[in-house]
Amino acid sequence: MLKYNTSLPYAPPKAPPSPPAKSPFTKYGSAHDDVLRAQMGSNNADYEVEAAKAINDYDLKQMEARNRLVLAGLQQMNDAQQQQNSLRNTGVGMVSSVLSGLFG
Amino acid sequence: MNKVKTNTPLPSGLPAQTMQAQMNNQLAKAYASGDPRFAVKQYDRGGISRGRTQWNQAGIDAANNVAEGVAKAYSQNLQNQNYNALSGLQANQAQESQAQSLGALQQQNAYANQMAALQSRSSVINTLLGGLLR
Repeated sequence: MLKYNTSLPYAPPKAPPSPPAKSPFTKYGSAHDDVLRAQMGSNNADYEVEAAKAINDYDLKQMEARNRLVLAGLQQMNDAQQQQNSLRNTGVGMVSSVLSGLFG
Repeated sequence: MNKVKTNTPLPSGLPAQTMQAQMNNQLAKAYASGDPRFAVKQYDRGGISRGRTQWNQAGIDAANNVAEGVAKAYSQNLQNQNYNALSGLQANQAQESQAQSLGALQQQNAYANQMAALQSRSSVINTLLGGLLR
C-alpha cells in the first residue's frame, strides 16, 4: 500500500516508462542487418543441405530394401521351381516303377 | 509369369548446387561478421565510453570471426563431399552385392534345373534299358 505525504501537493505516482521493444539482436547493433541477413541465408542453405541429405539417405535405404525384396522374391520363385522339378521327377520315378513292375 | 523389377536407380547424393549455395552463404556470413562494429557491442559497459581498447579487441574478434567462418564453410563443404562419396560408395556396394547375389541365385537355379532334368532323363533311360535287357 502506497502512502503519500499529504502535506505536499497531491500528485499521483507516474508509472515508469515502458521499455522500448527490444530486438533479440541488440548486441549486433541496429546497423548489422547485413550480418543477420547472412545468418538467415546461411541457415536456409544449411536446412537445404540437411533436407537433401535426409532425402538421399531415404533413397539409399529404399534401394537397399527393394534389393532385398527382389532377392527374396527370386529366391522364392527358384524354390518353387525346384519343388516343381522334384515333384515332376517323383512322378516320372513312379511311372517308371509302375512300368517296370508291369512289363518287367 | 512373375516379373521382378531389378534395375533401381542409384541415389543421386547431395546436389552440387545445394552444396555450393551452403558454402556461399556461409562465406557471406563469415565476411559480414568481419566488421568490427559487429563485435564491439559486446564490450559496451554502462557508463563507460568506447575507447581504443574496445575497438582493438573488436578488430581482433572480427578477424577471428572471418577466419573461423571461412574455415567452417570450407570444412562443411568438405564434409558434404565426403558424405556424397560415402553415400555413392554405399550405393555402389549395395548394387554390386545385389548383382553378385542375383548371379549366384541364377547359377544355383540353372544347376538345380539341370540336375532335375538329368534325374528325370536317367529315370526314363533306366526304365527303358531295364525293359530291353531283361
